Amino acid sequence: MFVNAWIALGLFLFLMVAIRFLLDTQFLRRILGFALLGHALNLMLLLSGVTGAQRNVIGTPAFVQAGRFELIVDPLPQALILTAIVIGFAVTAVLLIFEIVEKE
Amino acid sequence: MSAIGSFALIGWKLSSESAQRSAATALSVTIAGSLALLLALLYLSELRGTTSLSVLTSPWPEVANFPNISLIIFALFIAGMTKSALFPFHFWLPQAMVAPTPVSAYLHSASLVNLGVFLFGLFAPLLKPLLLWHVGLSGIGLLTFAIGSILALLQTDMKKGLAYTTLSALGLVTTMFGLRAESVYYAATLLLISHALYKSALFMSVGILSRGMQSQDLLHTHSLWKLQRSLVLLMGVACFSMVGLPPTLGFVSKEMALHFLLGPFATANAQWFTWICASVGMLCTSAFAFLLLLKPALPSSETMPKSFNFSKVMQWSVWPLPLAGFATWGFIWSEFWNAPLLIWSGACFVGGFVLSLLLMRPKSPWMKDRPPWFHKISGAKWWEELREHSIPLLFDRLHTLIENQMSKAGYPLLFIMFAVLIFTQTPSFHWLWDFSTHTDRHLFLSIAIFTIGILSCTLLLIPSAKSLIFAVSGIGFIVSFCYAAFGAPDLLLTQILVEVATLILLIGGWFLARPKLTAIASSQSFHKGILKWVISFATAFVAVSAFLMANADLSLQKFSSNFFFENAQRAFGSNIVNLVIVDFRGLDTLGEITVLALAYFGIRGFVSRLPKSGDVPLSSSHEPRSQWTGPLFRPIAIMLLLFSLWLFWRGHDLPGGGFIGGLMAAFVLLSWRLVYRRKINFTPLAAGGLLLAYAIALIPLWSHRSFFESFLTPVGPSSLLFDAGVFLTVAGSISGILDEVYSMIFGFRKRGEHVR
Repeated sequence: MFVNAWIALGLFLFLMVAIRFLLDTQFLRRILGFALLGHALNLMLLLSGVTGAQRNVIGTPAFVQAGRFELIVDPLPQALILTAIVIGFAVTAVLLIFEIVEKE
Repeated sequence: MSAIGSFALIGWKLSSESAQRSAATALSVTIAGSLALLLALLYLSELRGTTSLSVLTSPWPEVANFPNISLIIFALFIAGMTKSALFPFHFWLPQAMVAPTPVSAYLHSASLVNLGVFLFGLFAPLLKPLLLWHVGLSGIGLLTFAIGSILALLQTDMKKGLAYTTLSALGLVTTMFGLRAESVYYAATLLLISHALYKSALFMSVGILSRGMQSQDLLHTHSLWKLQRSLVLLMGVACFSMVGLPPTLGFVSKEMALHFLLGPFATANAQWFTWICASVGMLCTSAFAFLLLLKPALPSSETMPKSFNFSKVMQWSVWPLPLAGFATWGFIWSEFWNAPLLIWSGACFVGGFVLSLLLMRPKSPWMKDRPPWFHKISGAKWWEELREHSIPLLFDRLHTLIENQMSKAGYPLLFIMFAVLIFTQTPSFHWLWDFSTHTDRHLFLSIAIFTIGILSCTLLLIPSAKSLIFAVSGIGFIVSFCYAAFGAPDLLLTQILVEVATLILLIGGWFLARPKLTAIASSQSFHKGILKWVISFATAFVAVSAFLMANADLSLQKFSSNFFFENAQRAFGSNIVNLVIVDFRGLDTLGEITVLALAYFGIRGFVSRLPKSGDVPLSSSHEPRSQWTGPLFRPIAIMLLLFSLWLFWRGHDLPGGGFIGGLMAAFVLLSWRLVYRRKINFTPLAAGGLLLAYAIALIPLWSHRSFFESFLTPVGPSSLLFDAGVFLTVAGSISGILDEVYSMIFGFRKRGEHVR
């Protein structure tokens, strides 16, 4: 199984801290919790692409030159994550500005 | 890293102008060397198609047929010469003597200067067959050997004198690496070890001496034998090692070195040169060692102050060094008996002794002041000149040149450069994203993700807001390594760039809001705290369990992703991730950039409603504060802008694309804004990009095709134009968002108030 105990434990701790940060009363922790949650979910999404033949080809970028689909990692989650990373930045920025505007 | 550390150590005395100056000189020289090294390594790795150092430095029979191999050798020479302070670049090392003594001992015997020589040793097996390497390296080494020892002899400042002898010793080691005999490495290593041991012992004892006497001048020392026998004994052992007298380690290393110097020569002239340099160097080094030993030890008629205060503890801490030297004998015992011993040191011993006695005569000119030509050959001036005047002037000229060309030929020039960049055979630099295709990725991923989990737990303990921001950003960078190991180069680039942007944003927010953090347990009642932990634990548990269950059935093959692979030709590209973003799921991307632009416009709206307090004009002057910044920044910014365009352009086939290029361009725009403090309106950029993207999506409808269908345009596939829209929107929005935050920082409060 690709997702072994170490990965699962790491993801679990990561998620737990992220959610705990989201629930905190302090604003900075909430923003950072949001960023951490984004990272954790991105990683999970990425790992969910490992099925079938993809187990053995981790590390091979998704290019047409590879020849066969079984020889590359799944490109779809990558594309989703790529946009999610940039959106995560925009959301963080909006949250931060909310807080600053409220303070001023 | 070593260069930067040394910079900090040399500039230890913040109040001293000369210390700062020397530190800056050392840094600029060593960084120039690093750039040369980078050039050589990049070129070499392109030629051999690998970045593994052990492969790069292994002997290679075809090395002589390399194109431009002399360029690589020259770059390596420059790198080693600057780091090790060899002849034309030797001035920074004696200047660095303003640092505290332990720092000098460290610099000279342990770290920085040995790195350059080590570099020569590393590349010697590869480049040894070449004549340029042989002649150049041994020539540089011998010159440095002779000149360093002469300069040392002319010094009366003990620390500076020792610094010059370091030069000469390094010169000798360099010569060894330039020779072609088989076992020179043995001799060179032995020389380095013995040099490190005796030089650090000497530095430390001179430090003790000068601290006790409040003076570093050799002329002021005398009669030490009566006061401090142990210290003189210590210096004696070290000096004997420096001269190369039999019971010391220096004896063996010097003997071996001289044996190799007698070796086969290319021409008779080379033989004469070697002989002259070697004998001058040996003689002067010995003389200096005797001076250093005899002058303090011998009594003198001058009265001496009684208030000497020599640290005993420091002395005892130095004694292990000569002991280590003697211990090394155990390792070299067998080799020692095989080595041909010619007792060259005997001649050096006698010659050096006589020379030192001559110099110590009461009426000798050495006791008075330095001859005027000394300052000329010590050579510190020209670099100063270069650094203070020539280089800024050069940048200034370059800047005016670019400016003039821009205004004359206009921006087409920029695009010509861009076209050249794209259509010429650029080096592939495939190792930038291909490094994850060997090693055990699974193991790496597991370790990285587990580390992230552990690190995120330590976040709970961090009480300071700023540290927390940096720690979270550090986790973001580890996540980007996970992407690299997974084989997702696009994600790697995006994640690194966005992480930097987030860090800039959050630090800006920290400047504005100055959040005070309290410990995570203290701010609420006990029950509420427990409840929050239970919720987070349960949520994470459920999420990970669901994730594991979904992943349990590995036999499933996903046809959705296979579809993208099969139909890649229809989208005219080969980087499937980018194809998915701009072609197959372009609608998602369209929505995404819309959200991004809306976030920027929203932030702009919010900020514009805020009352403007402080009246600090945003652009009181458009000139950057330092005279270096402007001329330096403009060419770099133009190059980076071109680089971002290149990243965008190649995105369809190689890692890159609108998002990555746009992020890169956003940083350039933001730093342009911050350097020149010129108000840039980012709104048209973002809005224009958005309009372009929508237009590309709608155009196919006009010609009775389906919404978002890919079609070929004169420039390239339509998705490229769509990607250009993404590029513009991302660049405009992200630099705009960061600009709003930083304008608030510089505009709201009076300058200086927010910097504590």
